Amino acid sequence: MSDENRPQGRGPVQAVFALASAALGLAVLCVFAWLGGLIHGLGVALPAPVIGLALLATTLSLSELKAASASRVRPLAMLRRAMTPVSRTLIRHLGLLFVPAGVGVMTQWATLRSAWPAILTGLIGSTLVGLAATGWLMQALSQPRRPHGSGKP
Amino acid sequence: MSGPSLAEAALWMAVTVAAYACGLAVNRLARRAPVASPVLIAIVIVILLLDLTHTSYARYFRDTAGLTLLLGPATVALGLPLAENLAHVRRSLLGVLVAVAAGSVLSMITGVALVRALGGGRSLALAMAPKAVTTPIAVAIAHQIGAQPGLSAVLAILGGVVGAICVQGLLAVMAVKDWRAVGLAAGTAGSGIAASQVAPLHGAAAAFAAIGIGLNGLTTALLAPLLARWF
Repeated sequence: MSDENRPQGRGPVQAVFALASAALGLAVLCVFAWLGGLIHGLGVALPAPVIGLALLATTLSLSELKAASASRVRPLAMLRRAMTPVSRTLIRHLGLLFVPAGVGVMTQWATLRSAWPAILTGLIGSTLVGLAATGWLMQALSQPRRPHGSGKP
Repeated sequence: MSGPSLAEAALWMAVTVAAYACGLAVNRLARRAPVASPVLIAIVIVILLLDLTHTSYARYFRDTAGLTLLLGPATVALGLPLAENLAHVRRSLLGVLVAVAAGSVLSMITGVALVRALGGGRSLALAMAPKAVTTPIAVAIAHQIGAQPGLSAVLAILGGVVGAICVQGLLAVMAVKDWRAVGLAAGTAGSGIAASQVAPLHGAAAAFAAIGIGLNGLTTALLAPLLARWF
């Protein structure tokens, strides 16, 4: 990962600053999660964190559009810079956070033992169908990439 | 003071983190083979320890509430890679949306229908519905539609493993060579586990895999409750 090789703060001042920035970033994520919960509470039939995810993605996409046209969006850019490192850390260790939920499978032992052929067939069948449908449609629907247009890394 | 002490609660947090570290180590030893999923290994270790110490799941879940609490903001954080990569693919957005929607609906229906046809119960079929999406979102959707979250989490991980193993072979047989299509398919049908299989191969595959993970999370979250009403 490239962001791991980024120069980190060297002195104590930079360390404190990085910590404060990470805390601010986490606070931003929590605010979006809270907003998601609020909207979910209003009766939107989407899970609260998924609403928060959609709100965050929309806000970031809008800030990018604006950044291209005007320079008056410093607060959004700062917010984004604050939340990026903490987001990457959380995503990298997302697996750890759902171990407690996953352990809940121990309460489903009877289901697993009696229905494993159905589970196995369903898992393999549906994953193959999903891969095939998405891959084939995407290739069929997208125009071939122009060789000179792919200058970006 | 009544009830379990703070120290006891912290013990299961420590066990969970240690089990996950163990999973990461085994995954590295197995050269990051998708079957050696660090989360799956951690789950097995924790279940064995709970069984050995006769600790109930309810007790364990309560003691590790701190980790679960972070799951919300961490799931929200998935919006960042989605936004970053969406900006790169505006030109093929229509194809992306159609392909993800089709893959999402078809894999959900196939999974639920196969389970029902082979004699699986309704609760199992419900847990199967969100299994193509990234595990934290699958857990959130399971809560929403009344499926058992642990079952959905494990099915999501196993589905990702199946996707990681099959993605390159299947798409090669189908003559799907466009890296954008390969990445999008991996992210949509196999979430992060299949995505990490193709992402290192090509920059476009990585970007489209990230989009597949995010968009299929949203699509499945929208459609799973509707589907759940039919079954």
